[in-house]
Amino acid sequence: MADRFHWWLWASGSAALICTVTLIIVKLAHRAWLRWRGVRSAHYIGALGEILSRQMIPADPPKGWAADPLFHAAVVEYRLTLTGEDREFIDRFVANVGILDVLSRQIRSRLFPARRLRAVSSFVDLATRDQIPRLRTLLNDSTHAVAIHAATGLSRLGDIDSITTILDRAVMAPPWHAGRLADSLIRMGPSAGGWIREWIEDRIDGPLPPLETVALAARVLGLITDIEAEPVLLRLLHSDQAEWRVAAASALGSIGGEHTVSELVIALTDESWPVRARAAAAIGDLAAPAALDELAPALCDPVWWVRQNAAEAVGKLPGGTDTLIDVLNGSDPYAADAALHQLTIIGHVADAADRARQGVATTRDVTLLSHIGRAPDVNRDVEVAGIQ
Amino acid sequence: MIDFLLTTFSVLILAFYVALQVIMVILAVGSAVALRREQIIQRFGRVEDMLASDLAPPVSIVIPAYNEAAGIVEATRSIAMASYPRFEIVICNDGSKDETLELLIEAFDLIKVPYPIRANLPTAHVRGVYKPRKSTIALTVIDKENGGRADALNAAINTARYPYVMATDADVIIDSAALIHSMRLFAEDRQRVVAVGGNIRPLNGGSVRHGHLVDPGIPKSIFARYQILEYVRSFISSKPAWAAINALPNISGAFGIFRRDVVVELGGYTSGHFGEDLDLTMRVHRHFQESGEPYRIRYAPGAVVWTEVPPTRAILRRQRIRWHRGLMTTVKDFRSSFFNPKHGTVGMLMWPFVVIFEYLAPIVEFVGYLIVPLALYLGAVSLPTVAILFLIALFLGAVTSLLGLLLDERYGYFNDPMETLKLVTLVFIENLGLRQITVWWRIRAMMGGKATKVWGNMERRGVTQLASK
Repeated sequence: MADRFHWWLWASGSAALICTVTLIIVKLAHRAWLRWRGVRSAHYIGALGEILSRQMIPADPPKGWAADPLFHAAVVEYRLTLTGEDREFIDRFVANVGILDVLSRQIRSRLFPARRLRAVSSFVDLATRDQIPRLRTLLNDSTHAVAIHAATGLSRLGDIDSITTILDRAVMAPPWHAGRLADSLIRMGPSAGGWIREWIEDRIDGPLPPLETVALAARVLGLITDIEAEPVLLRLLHSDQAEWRVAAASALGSIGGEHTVSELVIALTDESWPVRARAAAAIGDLAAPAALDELAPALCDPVWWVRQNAAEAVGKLPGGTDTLIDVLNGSDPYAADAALHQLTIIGHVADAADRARQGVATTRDVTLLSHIGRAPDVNRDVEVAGIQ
Repeated sequence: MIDFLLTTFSVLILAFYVALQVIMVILAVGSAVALRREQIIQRFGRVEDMLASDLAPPVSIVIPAYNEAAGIVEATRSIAMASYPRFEIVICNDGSKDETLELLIEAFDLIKVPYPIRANLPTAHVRGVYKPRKSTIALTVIDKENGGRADALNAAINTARYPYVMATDADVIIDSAALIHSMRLFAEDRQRVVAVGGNIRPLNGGSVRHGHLVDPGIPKSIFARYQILEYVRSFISSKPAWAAINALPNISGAFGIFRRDVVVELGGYTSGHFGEDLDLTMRVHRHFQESGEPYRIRYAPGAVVWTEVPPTRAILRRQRIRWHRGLMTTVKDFRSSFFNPKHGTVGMLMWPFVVIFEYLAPIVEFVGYLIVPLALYLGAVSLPTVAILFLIALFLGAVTSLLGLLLDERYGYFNDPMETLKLVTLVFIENLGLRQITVWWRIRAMMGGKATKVWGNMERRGVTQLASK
């Protein structure tokens, strides 16, 4: 019977032996490669420093440099530390060595996805304005990660002409990738505002407006603090798309404007709770004291997030802590919870307790501390329909 | 006749073992493809963009703690240093008898606050909620009466304010990029992804500095060392393949992120369950398979979490008995999923694999250890045949472990020559006693006996004191 299993024994034994030898070789080789990579990277950094200090581009640089990903990584890293003429010198050196040509070839080949993505990553970091047409082509690549790299590169180079293309590409991308494509525009700063505004107005007036991308573009307007964006954002705030209203309310909180606060106060009664929550947060961001009275009712909103954002906003306004303490004695226990939570977060409860210990507590401190003393059981169910 | 039966049994047991190893090799190949794909995105996909984006989904890290005084403060500091734009930490002190709560209060200057808790999930009585006096860290500590790990997790989930909850342990070191790698999977597919599991690795033997693992090492304890191989086989050479076909068997309790609304809808973790993580993962699968809603449970191999594994035989024994009882309960609860075509790949592939090769395997193996000597004694099989069968089993087991280690090499751990030697030696000796011991523990679990506590009585040394243990 043993004979019948000889083949199995031979096969399993051989497989185990092959795997063992392979593992040992791979582990030792990997260890050696990691060391070699570290040494080589250090050599490259040293060489780059030498080239830069002498301001001399080698007439005949070693051929392996242009094709070595380690060299690309070293140049990218080194370039980031430079500014002005030094950076321009490195850019000339990169062009002279032919790195960008090698990377372009690797990007064209789709045989090895990892190598291609790595090449795109280096290409984007090393590209100069001469490579803008190539980057614009990559923007339409079917691989979202490649398009995001390209958009990042175009934004770094300040190519405002590609803003429309980037946003149009975002329309075709899934939400997360669309968000990152839109985020790439932040790097262009306020100069991108006009183009983004124009794109938004074109799209919302057109047939089948892209809901998510318009919201993302509006969000970018807030992040780049485009002070001229108020009209277009108010248009979005008045639209019938809740997603746009949320983005507009959020962006308005960053830029402000003549009509912003009054419009945000109106948005506090919006039918959609995310809009109300964002509007409350935006009023807090703008620190508009005039809105304190209008914010107080939002503390009684049926949705936890709105109450919490409203409490946070009230806490940021001058005189806001007094309002929050007053709410503690109100009839709405949910508003009181939100107010107390915020007073705790901003350290007011701890400060009041300290003052009480030192015998210098104010009347409001006493109100606050006495409320905590008779605070409800923490197990109390404060769930609100629709929110988990 | 008896000879024939004994011989047939012996061969069937070998066939069972061969089938298991063949499936493990197939899973390893599938995992290799999945790991490669993930690695490309991790290295060149600008995942670090998440750090600067307010579009990154916020997450609440929920940590149940019971008698964790030895390491709770360090672990909390380590987690607080995670590279991620928006997260909060919610620790639930589950009626610890040691100074867990006092140490937290002192270290983070906590004060008791009347914090509102949404009682979405029923839990034991919450005695109080603590927040830092000054909000330098987004931390909430819940002090509640003892109710077990699942109950503590449910209380923390009630308090969590973000739409995603990450369940972890109080004795882990979370790799700084773990949240980026795991939350990216949610961000990429918010509609469908409901849960993401992380890559758990034994911390024992490593060096920890300032809440970070600076040098993973091989522990001195043979039991801890053995678990390195187990974790590699599970988290490196199996889970990526299962996740690729949306049939991840278990999202480990040491690192699992769930959509909060899904957990609440399913009633949270099951209190008193010995395998609450497996139970919840299976309930998520069943819920979505039966409702027909598209869903994905993903696995993030780049989301590495280092956890202290049992270093001694006694603690490991308790843990394995507890785990196997958890598996037994889950197998019973989800018997309707067994070869159920309505449950897709989960019902037709993953769950049958778990039932046959994890739940029933100890029985088959144990019977083998009884039958083969009996067959030998009665002369039904010869000693050379038994030796050959044993060697085949040993070699096949070694192949799957070695494949796992080969796949693990992409992370670059343990490539010192001495460490390599230790691992290779371990691959061949694990089947000479260690494996048999764990089989016996699992048989003990099946035989019942004294109930094992829901909280494992693991003696914690704390994450900073683990080096070279």
